[in-house]
Amino acid sequence: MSERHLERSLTDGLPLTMTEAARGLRTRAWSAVELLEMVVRRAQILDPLLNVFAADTFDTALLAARAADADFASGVSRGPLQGIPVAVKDVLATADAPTRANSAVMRQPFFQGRDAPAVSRLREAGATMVGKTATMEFALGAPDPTTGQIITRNPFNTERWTGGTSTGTGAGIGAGLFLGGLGSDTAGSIRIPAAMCGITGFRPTYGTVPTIGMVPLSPSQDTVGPMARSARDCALMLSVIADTNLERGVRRGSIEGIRIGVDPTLTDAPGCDAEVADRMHDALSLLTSMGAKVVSVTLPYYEEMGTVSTLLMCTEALTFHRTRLQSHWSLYGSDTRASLALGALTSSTDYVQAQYVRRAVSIAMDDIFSQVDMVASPTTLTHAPPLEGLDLGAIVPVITTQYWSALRTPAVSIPMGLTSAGLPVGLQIAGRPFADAEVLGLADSFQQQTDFHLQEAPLIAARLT
Amino acid sequence: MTTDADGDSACEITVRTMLHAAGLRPCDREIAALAGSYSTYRAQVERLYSVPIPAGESPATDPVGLLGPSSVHARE
Repeated sequence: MSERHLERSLTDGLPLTMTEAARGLRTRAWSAVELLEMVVRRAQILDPLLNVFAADTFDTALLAARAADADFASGVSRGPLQGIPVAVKDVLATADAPTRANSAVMRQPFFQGRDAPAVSRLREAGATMVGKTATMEFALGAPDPTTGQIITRNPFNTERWTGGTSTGTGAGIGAGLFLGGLGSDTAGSIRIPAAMCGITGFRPTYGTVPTIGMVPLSPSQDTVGPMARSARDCALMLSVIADTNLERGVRRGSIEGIRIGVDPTLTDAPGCDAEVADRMHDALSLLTSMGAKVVSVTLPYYEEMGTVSTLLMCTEALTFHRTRLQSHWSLYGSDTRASLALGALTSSTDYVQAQYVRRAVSIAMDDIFSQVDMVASPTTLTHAPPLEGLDLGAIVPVITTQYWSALRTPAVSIPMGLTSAGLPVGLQIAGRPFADAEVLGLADSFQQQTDFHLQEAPLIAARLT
Repeated sequence: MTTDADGDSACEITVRTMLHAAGLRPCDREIAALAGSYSTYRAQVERLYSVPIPAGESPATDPVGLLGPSSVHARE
């Protein structure tokens, strides 16, 4: 396939990947200002439909783009993201816009006037920051129109959920309102919207990207990570935002002999959509044809680790919110309230036992990772559900992300095709701690043979023409 | 003899008491909903106590410890 052709939109020529955008900037195919103008035009047309932005920063972005062009003209390199439009989930502090976490409660300054370190690293690498993107309330709740929340819509079908909780970053990249962005992933909040919006999202090894300046959810599971069209773009962003002790980039080369563990109970489960299982089978067939070996494994205490992740999240979140929740109960969305209340229904003994289980399963996974190099599964066992009547209680059993969150290992979600309803589904690849480059390397190898990650939603193309 | 109604009532009392202890004041409808799901959640949490913990291991409150090689001494 013609990679260069496919990495540009057939509608307006927008480069779809950061890698392609950077190439064009350096060959003068477009300037940073022209690139910004392309995404701003898209935002003006599409954001009223999709509700991606919590706040746009187009004015400051224009200044940054002009500065990037001046630097290009004088041969100054600010870094690999120079002149590339990106956005940041509205749980991360930025100096040029307030942090609201999509909540009526969050009205006091948070990290006022300062960038979170992950954000400042993007700016230092030359990125053009176009705005703060919507989140589900405090990266926890569900869309609740009664509290005035921004409700983001899926670019593949606006009646469908984007996946959460990095809703705006997922939908915005899927619709080409920016080329990359930051999300936060506690129990799957990068990987789930990546799967449902047809893009790539990466949860790095816990602790490798600073979470300072992030509205906390579950500090023992919280991560900040990249979302973009491709694994290669995610690796590029990770190389900028991660601390120095992490191997950078994607590990390239043949995947001959790589052992990929698959737990068949996940795709055989009654809750797994047959089409998702089919796409998974197709993805594994492709990887096998490329030389990988698929090995059947049983993930130890899979269901219990879902409980661990939920318990830790709700309990730790309550510690941050307790005082405000006492005085502003009704200002929180109903699902946020219910999740935080669950934290109050959990004892300290339960919390410690959850941490013991985490340890035990971590040890058990050492054995699994002696048999396989990585583990693959569908990111979600269904495609995006309807927004109307969305029931988070029904979502939890069909996500496979919490296991790796509780283990604090790296995991990526990459597109693996569409269902017959035209909705994307994701392939999750997880690795052992600090195997970030290997995980992204396998994802990149898959994307060198497929173009699922470059697919544009027909709805978006129709709106732009 | 305990009936389902007794169990539901006990759940609601437990939920109401624990929320009250945390200083939270949901309305009756929300308490009823939380009480309705509490027994399922409680059963899930109880299952965590059935997971065997290797002797000598400590809870995973230390992220570095969790991410590094597991406690070799405890497994030997």
